[in-house]
Amino acid sequence: MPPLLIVPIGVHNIPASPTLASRLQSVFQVDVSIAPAGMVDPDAAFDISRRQYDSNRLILSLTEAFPRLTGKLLGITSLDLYVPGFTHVVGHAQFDGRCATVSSFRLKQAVYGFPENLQLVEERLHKEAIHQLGHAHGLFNCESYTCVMHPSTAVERIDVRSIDFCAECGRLLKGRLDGGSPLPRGIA
Amino acid sequence: MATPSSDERSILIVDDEFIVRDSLSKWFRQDGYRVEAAEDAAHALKCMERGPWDVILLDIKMPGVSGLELQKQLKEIDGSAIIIMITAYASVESAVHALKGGAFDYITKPVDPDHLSHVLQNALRQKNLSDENVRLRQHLSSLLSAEEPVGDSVQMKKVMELARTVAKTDTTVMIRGESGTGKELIARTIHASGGRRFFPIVPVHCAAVPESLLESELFGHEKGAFTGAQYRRKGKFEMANGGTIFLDEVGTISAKMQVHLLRVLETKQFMRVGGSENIKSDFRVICATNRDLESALKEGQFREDLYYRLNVFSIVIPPLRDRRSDIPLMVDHFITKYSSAMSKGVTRIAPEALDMLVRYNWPGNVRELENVIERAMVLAQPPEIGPNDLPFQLTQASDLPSDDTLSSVERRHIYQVLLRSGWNITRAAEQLDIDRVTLYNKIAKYGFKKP
Repeated sequence: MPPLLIVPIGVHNIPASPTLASRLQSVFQVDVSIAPAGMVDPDAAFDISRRQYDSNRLILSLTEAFPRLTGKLLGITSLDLYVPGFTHVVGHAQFDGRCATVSSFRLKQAVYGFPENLQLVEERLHKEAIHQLGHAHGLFNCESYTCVMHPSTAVERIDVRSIDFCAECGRLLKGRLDGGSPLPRGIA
Repeated sequence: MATPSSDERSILIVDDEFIVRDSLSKWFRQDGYRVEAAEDAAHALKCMERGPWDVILLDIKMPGVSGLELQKQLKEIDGSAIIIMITAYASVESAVHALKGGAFDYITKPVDPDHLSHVLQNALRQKNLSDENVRLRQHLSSLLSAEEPVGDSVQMKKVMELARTVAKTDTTVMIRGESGTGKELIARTIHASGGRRFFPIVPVHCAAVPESLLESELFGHEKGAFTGAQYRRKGKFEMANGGTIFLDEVGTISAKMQVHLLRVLETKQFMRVGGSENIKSDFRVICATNRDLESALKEGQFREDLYYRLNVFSIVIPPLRDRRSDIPLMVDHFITKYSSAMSKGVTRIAPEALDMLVRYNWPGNVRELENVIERAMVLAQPPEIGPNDLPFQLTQASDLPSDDTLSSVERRHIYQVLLRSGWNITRAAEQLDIDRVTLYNKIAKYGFKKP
């Protein structure tokens, strides 16, 4: 199985910690390494009118920065991300594809007027990273609200869901990791 | 391509900006929706042919036909679709216009994912409730209009026992019986007693639909499939999804349709006329016929494979003349039914009139009996139906049988004498010039009962 590479993008106050690497390693059963900072320049993705970073362009920069890498790429940043049409995203992935991004920008307690809690922010970031990498492995959003694949557009909902897959999503992921084709939820 | 199933949620996105269509499509696909996107009104209307869509996200500001104008056209094509307007130019005026035009809600670009997620959840809840409401109304009306088979005879008790037994399964049932014996009523009883009762029973009268239209009636058609097909239409098999399809007079269908029918019954999949998409439907089949299918089989008019596919569990409804003891009960039932419908105080039937009904041959079975009672209810003077309220043929041929054998003539004659004497056995015996014991024996032999 090709290794998974975590790529820090821009200045990051929540480091791509070894804890995240070991979590991803155990969930996706793959070698995980962390790229040195500065490999991807986020400036090309900056939209001056919105003062935000286009996640589609960041993903493009990621693939261009590691053209020979065959494993999945996870861009991790504290920049405010968006995809066109949406006000913001906390994470974004190429469905059944190679790349995913996660941002800690809107996961911080300070954004909502609360005292900062870095441990909580890190936990949210890890959940979102697993969620987006789940999409990159061909998993759909899940209706079970405790499953890590449950769609969470607000931090409260991220806090409610666990960091684990439900039995059904776990089975689908295992099938994908074993080389099977995805069984889309609701269509199978 | 995945086969569309009834529980797959679907979204149509109409927006002139490619990047917005692309982002929203990806967003909803990750949620497991069936998604299509259109860049303008013309494409959106084309996409409607591949509907129905649960939710339509519609941009207000588009070149050419505006979103507000398109909203009206989309609502005309599918009034049940939930339309959510999107625009980059948020203004109270356009929002009010959209909502007045029947839009469910209104969101602004760029879309807040949290807001979109809430609006969509509400929209789908609304859609599910509306769909459920339509289904329950249809079901309620079918329950209100449904009648229970009436009958206390041994034969009818057996029929009802068979119906209740087979209702618990999904087995294909063939109901045999003469015209007017109540085959559809038994089919409805089976459906109403089974696990599919909360879904529709869809009757198709195969003999009443012209051969050229039966295919479209059963399988539906796409827009433009033939002259006059202005809109896509669902077929009866699709409408029966989750429920039961009742194929009445199945023995009359053509050889070509028999092939189509066999395939659908085997695969539970079909294509609409003029379509290329395989439609799945989960239905139970109950069919009925008054035709001698076995003879048709021998003559090569009915396919053997289809016969065996349909004739899994057979229920034979005896003709009314073979279960005369049911007639008084049925008469009471129809009097109650029509006295309530006509608000008329006719509540009973005179014994002589009932006797005529019991002795009539009933070639048209229960349907004929119901018609006779309905007619009599119109003519009768409250509180009861008299012999003169019955049709001419009944009063003339009130005794049975109508052939010319000696026993028939004797039976008819004895009965008329009994009627004339007011069932005075001594007087009737005198008139017949036989002793009373012989008359009692004859009464027992012919099964006469004092009215």
